[in-house]
Amino acid sequence: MTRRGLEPDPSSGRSSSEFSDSPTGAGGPATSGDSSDEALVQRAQKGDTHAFDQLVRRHFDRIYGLLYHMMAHRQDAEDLAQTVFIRAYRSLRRFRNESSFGTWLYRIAVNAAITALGRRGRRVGEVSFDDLDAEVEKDKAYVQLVSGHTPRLELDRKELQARLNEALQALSDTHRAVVVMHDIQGLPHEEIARVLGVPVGTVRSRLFYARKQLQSALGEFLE
Amino acid sequence: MNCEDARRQWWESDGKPGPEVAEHLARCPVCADLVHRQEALAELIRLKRFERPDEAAVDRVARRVELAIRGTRPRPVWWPEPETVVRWAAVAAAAALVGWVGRVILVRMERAARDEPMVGSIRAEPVRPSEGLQLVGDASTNPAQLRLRLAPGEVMEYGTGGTRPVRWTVEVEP
Ligand SMILES: [Zn+2]
Repeated sequence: MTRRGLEPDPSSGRSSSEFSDSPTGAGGPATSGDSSDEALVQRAQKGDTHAFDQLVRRHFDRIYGLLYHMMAHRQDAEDLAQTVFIRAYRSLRRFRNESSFGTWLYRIAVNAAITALGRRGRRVGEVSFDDLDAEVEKDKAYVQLVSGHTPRLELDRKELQARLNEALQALSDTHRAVVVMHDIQGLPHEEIARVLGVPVGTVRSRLFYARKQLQSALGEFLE
Repeated sequence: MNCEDARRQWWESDGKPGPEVAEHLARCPVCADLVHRQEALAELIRLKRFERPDEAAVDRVARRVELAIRGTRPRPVWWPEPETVVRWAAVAAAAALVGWVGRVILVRMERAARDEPMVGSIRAEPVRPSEGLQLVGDASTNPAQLRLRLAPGEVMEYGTGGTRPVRWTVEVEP
């Protein structure tokens, strides 16, 4: 099976930080056949839904990833991803290239997730923690990483995953958002600050607080 | 560089410390241990990256988005966001409520002012001596009870009616 990465494959050594605004590294004016985000956005702003479809496909993994880790529920993440893209299309004329399209989209997704979580509540017992793909367990890099962490505890990988999920879900929504963006999706502090529209110091202190909480919840895995 | 500065700079460097911090970490086991624990935790959290959407998810979502936006154009810039409409509606409702409450208070204050007691225009006259006295007034009174001392040892009380002219029954203590 060909793997489509939710985030860049950690085993590939590719950097996962910051939004690449275009596959061509764009900049310059949009030309015909130009598939940079900027060019696709310009076409979509005029109602070209095909161009927007390309943007959806290009940014789906990251947006889905953010929503999935925020909601801890695959179906909720998928439904919300759909909402985010539709909302983005409808508001597309407000997008002014002041940030990258990825950052703008991310901002919509974070807000949508926090609103949805507020509406859904914690929904204890309904959050799916059994979402770990069977495929993941066959992943060499994953197995290596996990066994690197649990040499003595010989913990079941599912248990580790469950504990990790539990600890993440115990964070407040705003703290979890920062952890997801930084620690799972690899965004640097400054980019997260742009997404959330807060000073970088706020991002650092939220991350610090969240890590502290996670550290006490997962201490036994960190020996 | 002291420990406090080293830790702060390490944290702010977002995992890419400069040579000075690296040097401190090399010779300070306490800070090195703290950093090691932070890195181990980050690595543990990174395991979540391996959870990915199923292969068909992107197609499902793209198709549903396409269906929803087909034949439509992005809204014009001046078009308010749904959240903005909700916010405006909430503000308007709150303003209407404040206005209504304000009006009710004003009306009551006006009524209370109109109903100021005008004791001077009330006069008492006997109706049936066995029952007491009857106060006859053409002025309104406020809703509070008033006590009028008519003579030493003699107390009369009267309550309120609310319409004018008002007739007040006065009871005289024996
Ligand atoms: Zn030190």
